[in-house]
Amino acid sequence: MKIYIFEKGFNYSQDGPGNRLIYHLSGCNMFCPWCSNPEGMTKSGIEYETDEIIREIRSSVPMFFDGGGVTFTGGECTLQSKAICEIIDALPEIDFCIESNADTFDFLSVAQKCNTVIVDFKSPDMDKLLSVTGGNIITIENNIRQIEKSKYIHIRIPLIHNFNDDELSLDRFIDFFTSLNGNFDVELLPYHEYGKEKWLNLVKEYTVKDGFVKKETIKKFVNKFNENSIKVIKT
Amino acid sequence: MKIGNHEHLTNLAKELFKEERSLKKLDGWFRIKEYRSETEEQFKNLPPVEKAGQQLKIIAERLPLSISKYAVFAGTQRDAFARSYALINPAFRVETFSGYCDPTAVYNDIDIDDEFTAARIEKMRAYDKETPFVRELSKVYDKYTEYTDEVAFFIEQVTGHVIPDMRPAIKYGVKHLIEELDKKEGNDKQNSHRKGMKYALEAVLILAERYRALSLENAEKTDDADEKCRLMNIAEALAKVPASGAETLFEAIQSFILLWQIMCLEQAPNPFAFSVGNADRIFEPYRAKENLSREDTAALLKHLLVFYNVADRSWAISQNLIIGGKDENGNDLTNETSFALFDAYYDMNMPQPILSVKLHKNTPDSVYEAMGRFFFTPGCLTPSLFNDDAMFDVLTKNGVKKEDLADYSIAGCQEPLIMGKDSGNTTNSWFNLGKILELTLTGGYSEITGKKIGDTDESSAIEKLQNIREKFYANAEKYATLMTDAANGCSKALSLLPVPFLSAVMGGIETGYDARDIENQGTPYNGSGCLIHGTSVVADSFVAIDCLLKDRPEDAEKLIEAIKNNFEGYEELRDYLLSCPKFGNNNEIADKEAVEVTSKIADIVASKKNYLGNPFRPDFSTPSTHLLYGYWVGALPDGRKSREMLNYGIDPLHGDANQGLGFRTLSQMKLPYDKMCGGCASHLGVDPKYFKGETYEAKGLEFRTKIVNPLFFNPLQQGISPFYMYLNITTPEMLRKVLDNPKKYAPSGVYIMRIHGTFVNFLDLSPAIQQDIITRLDPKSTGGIEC
Repeated sequence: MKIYIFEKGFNYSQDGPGNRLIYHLSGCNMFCPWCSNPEGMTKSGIEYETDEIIREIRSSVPMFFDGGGVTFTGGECTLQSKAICEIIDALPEIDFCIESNADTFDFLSVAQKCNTVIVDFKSPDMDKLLSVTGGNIITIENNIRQIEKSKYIHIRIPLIHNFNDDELSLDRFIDFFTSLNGNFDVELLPYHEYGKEKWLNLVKEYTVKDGFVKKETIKKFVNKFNENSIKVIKT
Repeated sequence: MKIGNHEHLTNLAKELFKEERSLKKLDGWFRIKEYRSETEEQFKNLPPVEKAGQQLKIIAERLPLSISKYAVFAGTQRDAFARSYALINPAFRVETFSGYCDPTAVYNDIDIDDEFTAARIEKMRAYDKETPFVRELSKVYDKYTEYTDEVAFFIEQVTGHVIPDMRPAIKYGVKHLIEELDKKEGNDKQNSHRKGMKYALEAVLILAERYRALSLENAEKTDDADEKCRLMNIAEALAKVPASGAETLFEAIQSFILLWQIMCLEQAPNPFAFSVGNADRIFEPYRAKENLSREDTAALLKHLLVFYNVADRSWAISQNLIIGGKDENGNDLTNETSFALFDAYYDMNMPQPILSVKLHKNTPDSVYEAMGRFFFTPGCLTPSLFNDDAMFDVLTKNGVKKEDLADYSIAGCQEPLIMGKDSGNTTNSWFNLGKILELTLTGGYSEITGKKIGDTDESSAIEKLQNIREKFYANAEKYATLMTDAANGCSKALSLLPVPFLSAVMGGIETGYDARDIENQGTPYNGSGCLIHGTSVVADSFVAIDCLLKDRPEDAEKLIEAIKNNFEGYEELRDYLLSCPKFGNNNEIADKEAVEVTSKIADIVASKKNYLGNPFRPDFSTPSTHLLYGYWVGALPDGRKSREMLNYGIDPLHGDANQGLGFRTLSQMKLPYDKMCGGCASHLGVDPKYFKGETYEAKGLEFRTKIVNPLFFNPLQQGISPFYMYLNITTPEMLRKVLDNPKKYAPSGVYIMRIHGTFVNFLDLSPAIQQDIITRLDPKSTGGIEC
């Protein structure tokens, strides 16, 4: 089976526990204007056979130290769920993780197979989410609710000024999180512009104008989350 | 301490260093040459080793001495060195570098003035040219010039490059060693060699007595009470050491310094890379006896470190000092002096002596915590790292006894030798696989000059490519034979300059033979080194040839033409070759080929015998010579263009490994380290952003987790683990900023970087070497994924 990957490499403890081999899968169902990997939005990465990837993972085992393993991210990795599942099924001894926007129908089937699930939860506001990123809040919230029943999940919020750092968003985040079972933690990822150069290199307009979030805002989010017994972590 | 508190001693050390760096002239070596020539007649009837011993006494008697007003100890290395080492000379150019094969070239490194007139210099040069050593050596170079001109291989006579064991001399005193010599009986040759050693040991006593007298004289003259106190302290110590055993740390260091000085004077000019060994183990017994604090110990050691810096550019290069490690039973040997040394190094941040650290799987956290500040302070020196666990296995496999394992240390850059027992002639020969592949492909013609160097091969292009491995290894065998013959010629020539002092601290008292003797082995261990260049460019070339023969065999002829034309007009073909699998990306095919090239070449080299019948030691290191030798290598089938650098050490060629540190580590783990008994070299240029810890200590531990453990102590490693690495934790952008605006980024004028086994002030380097350092950071080969 084919799988499309636009970047791969190792990182430590950033996308799952320990030292991990990260595969960035091509193609995305969202179009977040702050995306730090805009090159992954289309399905134009390098084509591999899943067998090749399975071999590569096997040969990389010495690097999975400190509880490490393999993380699929993107783009949106669950768009290639069949390929991912084939790889995961072939390697029962490996620790797998996905990082996903949870906005696909296949999210659950992939997430169920992983030890670690990371969800990028961009906004609790249906309209804003749809208009800015193309995301569907109903699918996302449903998926989170479903997976949280059986898996501990790590939710990441990219905190962006003029998008989700206002009081209303904060309240909605809290509403949603407090409606869950508590089988999760939250990490705030303040806006950065690591991807800006990539956008420009792709001859695409970088449309975020004033995305940086004030320190006080971050503090406020953390405090409010804590007050509502929402576990906030920093990786 | 009676000579002042640690802060005062530190200030003095910094002043002393400043004073040393202001010195632009080195002429002691020239005087030594003259003393030798002047006494030639006087000692002409003595056997060579005795003559060398007597001449060393003359040097000790006549050499002008001085003691700085900032000094805490007496002694200097500066009379042993000339301003010769090319890479730290900004005038150095890759295009004109021709090695250090002319021993009279050193006469170009002295400034002509009223005292050292042109006539005086030329007289000595002319005299030197007629000495038996220079005549013999010249014969060797003349015979092999066809191969050395374009560096199919290179050879050199090896001075320095060993690790003396000064511990008995410090502990029991030189007089005790002389008594030991007197007690020994042997054949006529041994008796004569031991007599030479005795004279040489007497030379250090002469030097000590002269320094003692000078201290007293200066103390008499000075009005400065502090200086007087220090001078009297020196005089007091020198009344005792090195003649008798040291009891305090001060005495131990003072003794060590004079022993070192005389050892270097014996081999002047330019005995590069004499190395200290485990300084923490040498000095800890004396510190412990006094229960001296870490601060006071560090303050004294700072003066020892200054001693290793010679004149304006620290011309005595590659003097390695090592810290840490384990004993043969696995017990960690880190001690209080280890940490005092770390403190002294960090505070002084000087180009010499270079720092190495031995690690093993049970190295305590405190060592990594102490190293954090070195790696994460921009412009600070960084230790190179050695893996004791792996090194013990490599050395055991190569015949080192269990009781000697803990005493292995690093001579120069990366060469593992047993302290006080191993004459490794480590830089004796240099093997250029890139050039050999070029000559194999062209049927013996140089792509660079068109000269016919190798054997004719008129077979067709397709035939050449189909049989490339067989032909290449046959040529490698041929050139290795020529190279080792030539290298042995250099060693034989050098044996005409015996080294009785060195021999006395290298096991010669016991064996009765000079360390350079070519008939009887003077040191318990002996070998000759061979530095092997270009493993990954050759491996990648083989893989590219295989791909081409599979995908487009009709282009075989075109490939040969393309490399002859440096790919000009063959850009498409070059792009294809560049796209073929390359070592360093965890690619099965490319990595397997690199393993095979490394293994086969190591076997070829190790099958060659040196002048005493001991094997040559394969050393996969390229101390900037990947740049120098690459300049003489034409285009190759991996897509590398003519005159571009070869890969560094065992690393992938810069730019070829572009999948990040994890994949590169996986590739490098596969190499046959057990066959690299001469050493190996690997460099990682890592972006500081990769480390998130908030303190130096936390980053030090993180450094262990992310860099050291995967490579050195990986439980899933098959076979022997890698045992050497060095790092520069910075980015190309940062270094460009330092170059563009040194006042802002290096306000002290010193920005230490590591190249290979040595520290350099980045700002002192020639532009070519600066660019090489920037290129070799090779961030794509060491990056993580941050997004």
